[in-house]
Amino acid sequence: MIDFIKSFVETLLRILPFPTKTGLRVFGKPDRHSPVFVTANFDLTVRRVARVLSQNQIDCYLLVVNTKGINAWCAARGGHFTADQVVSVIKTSGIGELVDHRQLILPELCAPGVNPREIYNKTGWHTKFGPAYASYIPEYIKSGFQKTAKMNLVEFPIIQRLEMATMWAFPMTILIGILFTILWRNLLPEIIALIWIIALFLFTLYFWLPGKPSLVSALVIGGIFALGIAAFGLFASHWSIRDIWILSLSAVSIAGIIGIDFPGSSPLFHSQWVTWTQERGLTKGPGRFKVVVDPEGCNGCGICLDVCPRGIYRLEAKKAVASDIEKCENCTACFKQCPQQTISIGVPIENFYR
Amino acid sequence: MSYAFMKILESAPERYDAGIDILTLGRLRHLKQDIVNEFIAKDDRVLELGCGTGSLAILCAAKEAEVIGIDLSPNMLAIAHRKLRKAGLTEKIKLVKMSAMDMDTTFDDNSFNVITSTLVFSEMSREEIRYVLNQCHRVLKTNGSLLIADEIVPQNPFAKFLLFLLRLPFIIIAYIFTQTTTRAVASLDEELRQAGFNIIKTKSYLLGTMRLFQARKTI
Repeated sequence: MIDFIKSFVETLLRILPFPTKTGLRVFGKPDRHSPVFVTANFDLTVRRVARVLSQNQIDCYLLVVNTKGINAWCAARGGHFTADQVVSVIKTSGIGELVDHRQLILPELCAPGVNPREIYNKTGWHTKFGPAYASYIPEYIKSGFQKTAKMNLVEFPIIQRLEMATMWAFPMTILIGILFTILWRNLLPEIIALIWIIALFLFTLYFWLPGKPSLVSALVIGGIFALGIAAFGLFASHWSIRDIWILSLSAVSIAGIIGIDFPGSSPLFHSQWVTWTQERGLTKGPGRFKVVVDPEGCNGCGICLDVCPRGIYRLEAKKAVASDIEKCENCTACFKQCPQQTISIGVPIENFYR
Repeated sequence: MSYAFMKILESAPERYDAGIDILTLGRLRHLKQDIVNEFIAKDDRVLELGCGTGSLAILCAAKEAEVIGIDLSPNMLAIAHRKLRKAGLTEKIKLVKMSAMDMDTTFDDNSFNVITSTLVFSEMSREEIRYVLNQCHRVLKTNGSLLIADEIVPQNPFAKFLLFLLRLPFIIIAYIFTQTTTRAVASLDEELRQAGFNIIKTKSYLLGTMRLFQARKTI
């Protein structure tokens, strides 16, 4: 029950970090050969991983890394989930005394931030990237700690999309709700309904909106809502002309706010917002880039296949080839993990964050 | 999940100083000045854990101490570099991108007169705090001082709640404009004693929510 309430509150406020206790957790009755998994200390994630491990009666250790309450994916890209945090948990958790092996299984989605060589050099621990989602862990263990192609891929199923809709709608309800309470109290129920309807509409129909998910597609939907409000308002409601204007413009604004990072709100697409700010020099970074593999340097180790959450890499005659390049979301995992450094991002390295 | 959020965090260092000023109502500046006035002498070897944008390191170096500042964030260090070039103190301060967790392999025993650290321990887990305090004890010279300034959780739950309410507007303002926030650390005095330090002095700031500890290595 408490678990449910926590999940509910944390989903509503998902936009904020939620730290939880870091360090070692024990599941089942692990022995000296049991696997050691690693995760970020975003409370929602940790509880999900813990649920998978205990429900499937997996005997193992879990190291919760101090990522300041941010999930693995965002923390790794924001510089809060790096080799330093992993080294710290290895040194302070005492895990070295509990197992005979020196093998950590990291979440795949931390690959944009964590440098395995640094961890090895500082602690002697080897690392490998496990599946993208905790729900694959039982299958992963059964197949002898080998990933199938599916386990590498991120998805954006309806349940996650509804989560994202909630993530946007709830804070907007609070902030826009306060604004309307002050200025246009008579429209409060309407505006709250509008926020939730637009958010749920945009994310439910995410893949079926006109064009790819983008600011423009979100604004088009906002515009359609505005027209709908105007039509309904003029013919079938008690709203004044001023009310109709307020609600119509609000519909476009709500869609616009969600639209600012509409593609980036999924794990599937590169963030337009990030690209936009980087290309104008407002934040550091390379902007939108294309990964390029230099076939000369490639030794066919396949790490890029292992860390790419979109499955854009294939091995052809023992060389990595980036095929479905338009699917690439610029997460930088392949570029950072390639031990031969043969993957480049086509822009000068100095422009790159870190 | 949202990239935008991560980006906000990333861009924060440029506004970090301003954020901390809002959050601590400017008290952290006073505190840093107090540290330098009282505890830093000419030619001291000073280690700063989590030097951030370098404001305390610069104050120490201005008093002709020799400073090594370590920090995890390359963005913070880039700003620190800029600030100390401007202050003309590049000779006196060495900045290193490194984790306090790597002190074991980086610094020799008995090699510093003073170790300073502001708003860093509250970012660590309890296990990390223990580990780092033990390392501080090792690398400090005998009679060297460890100076830690951090937010402290008040013991009294009522005081805790009242202070939270009082500070809430500042927390919100600082977070909205600078994405900076701070956390509090519990029972630091006990951890210091466990690591073998003698607490010589404590001083409260901001109605007791922020505290400066002077802990000495006596053996």
